[in-house]
Amino acid sequence: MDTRESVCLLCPMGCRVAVRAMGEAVVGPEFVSARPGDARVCARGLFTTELLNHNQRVAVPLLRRDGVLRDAAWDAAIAELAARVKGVIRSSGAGSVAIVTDAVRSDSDLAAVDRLARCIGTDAVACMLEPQDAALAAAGESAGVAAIEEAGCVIVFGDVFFSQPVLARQIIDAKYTARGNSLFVVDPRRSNTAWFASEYVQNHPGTEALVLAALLKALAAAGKGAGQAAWLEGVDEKALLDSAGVSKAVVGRMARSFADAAKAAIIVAPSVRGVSDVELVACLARLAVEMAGAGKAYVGLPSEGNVKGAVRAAADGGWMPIASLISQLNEGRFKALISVGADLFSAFPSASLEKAVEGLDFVASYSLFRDRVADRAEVVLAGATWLEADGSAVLFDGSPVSWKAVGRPSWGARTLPDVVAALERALGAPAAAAKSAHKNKAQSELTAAALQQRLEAAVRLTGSKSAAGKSLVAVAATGHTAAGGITRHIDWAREMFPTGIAEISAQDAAEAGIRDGDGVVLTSETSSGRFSVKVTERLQQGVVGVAAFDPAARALFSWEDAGGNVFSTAPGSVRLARESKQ
Amino acid sequence: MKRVFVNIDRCIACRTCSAACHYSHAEQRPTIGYGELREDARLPFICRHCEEPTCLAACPQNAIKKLDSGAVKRMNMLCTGCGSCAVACPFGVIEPQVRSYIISKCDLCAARAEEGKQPACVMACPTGALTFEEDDEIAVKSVMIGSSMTGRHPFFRRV
Repeated sequence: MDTRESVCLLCPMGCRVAVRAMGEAVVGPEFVSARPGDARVCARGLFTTELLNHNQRVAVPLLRRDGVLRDAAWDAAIAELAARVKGVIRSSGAGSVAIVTDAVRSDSDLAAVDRLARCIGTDAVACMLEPQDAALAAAGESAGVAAIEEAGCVIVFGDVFFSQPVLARQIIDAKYTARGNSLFVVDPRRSNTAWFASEYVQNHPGTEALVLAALLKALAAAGKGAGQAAWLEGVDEKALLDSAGVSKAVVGRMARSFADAAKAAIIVAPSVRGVSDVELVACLARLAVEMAGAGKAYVGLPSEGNVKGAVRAAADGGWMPIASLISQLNEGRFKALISVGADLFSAFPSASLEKAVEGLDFVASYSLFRDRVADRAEVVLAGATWLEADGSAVLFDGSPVSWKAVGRPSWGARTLPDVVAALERALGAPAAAAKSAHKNKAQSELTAAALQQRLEAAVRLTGSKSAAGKSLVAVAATGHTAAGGITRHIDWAREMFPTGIAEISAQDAAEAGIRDGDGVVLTSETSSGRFSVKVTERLQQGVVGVAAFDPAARALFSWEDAGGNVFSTAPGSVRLARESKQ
Repeated sequence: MKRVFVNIDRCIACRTCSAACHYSHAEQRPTIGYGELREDARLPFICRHCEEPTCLAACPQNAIKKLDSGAVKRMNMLCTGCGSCAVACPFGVIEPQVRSYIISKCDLCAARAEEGKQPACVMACPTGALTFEEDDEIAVKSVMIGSSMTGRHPFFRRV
């Protein structure tokens, strides 16, 4: 029995995971650190090793015969896929083939997806990034973990201990290293991270940008960043604070601690759901870092392992944003869909999308599990995880990471580059390149005027809250939730992150006569779903909390193509009703 | 003897210890449960390996033994999964839910100990909240449940 090391790609921290292996067989996780706490791995990272031997993995390619998916040989599956793709190209053109992939894969996998698109000749390729991830990546380079370790003041937006537990050690260390060190946590839900805060700031859902704008004003008032945020003078501070539901005093203390600390960091974590404009939040956080002077750092944490690599691949290959691809899919522009890895229906659930995919001539899936896209597919190829091949990725701070395969692909699975090479041979000579057809925003270009405009829009949005409805926030367990969501197939992980639960405050529960475990129906502008109630003290009155990894909950949020960063509901737009007893 | 201690000033309730336990004892439920103190603190419940274990006394099959190391271990082949130990445990760390006729019982990762390794839960903990130390070492360090309590509510105590 030997120990082999690899990298976890469920979130962009790039933790080293180790497995015990015997020959080709992987037995289970191992811990290679010299002392406790150094292993830098969370529960979700441990789950990844189960993916290698999971008994529900697609073991061999499947072909649909007489309406039923049946086992097939790789050659037959590749030939069938190539023939169907050629048929669609002949009848409707290469541009009618859409390809979607996810960011829980290595650079070489992403390059293989790009090669497949070139070979087919389509420009309709998209990576299923979480809606806010592209905005976080566009907001510029993030500092690394070291910036947190040395910080005397850390301001966290979101529940980072839930989404990235491996950062907890650095954040707790930073807080306890010296007397006077401070940890501010800004989150509408009093999360586990808030337990540790020296000051917890409970804002209204969707107002992170407003809190940051108030922080910038406080910094400017203290004489920091001369002239850097002159546009803020026209913004009404009282409106910001009232809409965000935070006091001027607490923002003042946050600004003082942040400016006075020799080293400080602002962490924008992906669990910030319900935020209407993540790009604005990230840009304002960076501006605060620039204004406060030297020694300050911005840390932006996207949801999935290789978001930076995927953004780079998308920019190089001229891929389209996932929202554009889905809207074109809904409009009926495509005739065929090739899904590489991710479950589109769980990541972006909507009835119209399912109907649109139902109407396609042909669907193929390269996936680990028989997910709902695979169930709809004519050809299912047995996919391999990133652990089963050598690979590389780009972490949240832009640093590269590489790893060696811990074992060969399980059963009959093949790695994506191998599959694409076989498809290239079957499809014949590569088609003409269709490159750079789409504008991908690699770097945010928000000017001062644009910042002001978007901030005012955010104030208007949150200020227009309807008293009757509820505001929605969602908590995220990174990697388990995000577009890939492969750990959803692991029983033990599902038990750990239960779905179908809506948290409501004790006041709301008392008013509506709802008790723990009662069934309620949540209705937003986009969807409606049944949830089981958990009464909690974590939320303010008028706020409902759901899990961002729950497809039914994700459907309640709207996501649009406006910068690809919207994953929110309008404040007060969600209706909560007791489930009627039949 | 060496025991697993929980430093609640570092525990973030991420349940990595529970997942590590699950994968180290593949046939069982994890032996680490979680208890919630209202919604302000959520902590792992880990077997204390008592000096005089009530689970051992309660077992009708003599399937629970105290090893020389001090660890209280369930013997797989003798256990019938009757659940008496779960009822007897004063700390509620043995889950009454039975799978495959065996109860889940922490053995301080006896197999790992033979290789000179620390228990899986301790090694996996991402924040260093779990430590595996001698009783007297812990007394010196004052790192154990409640040791640094100031008598206030846990939520505020962390401030």
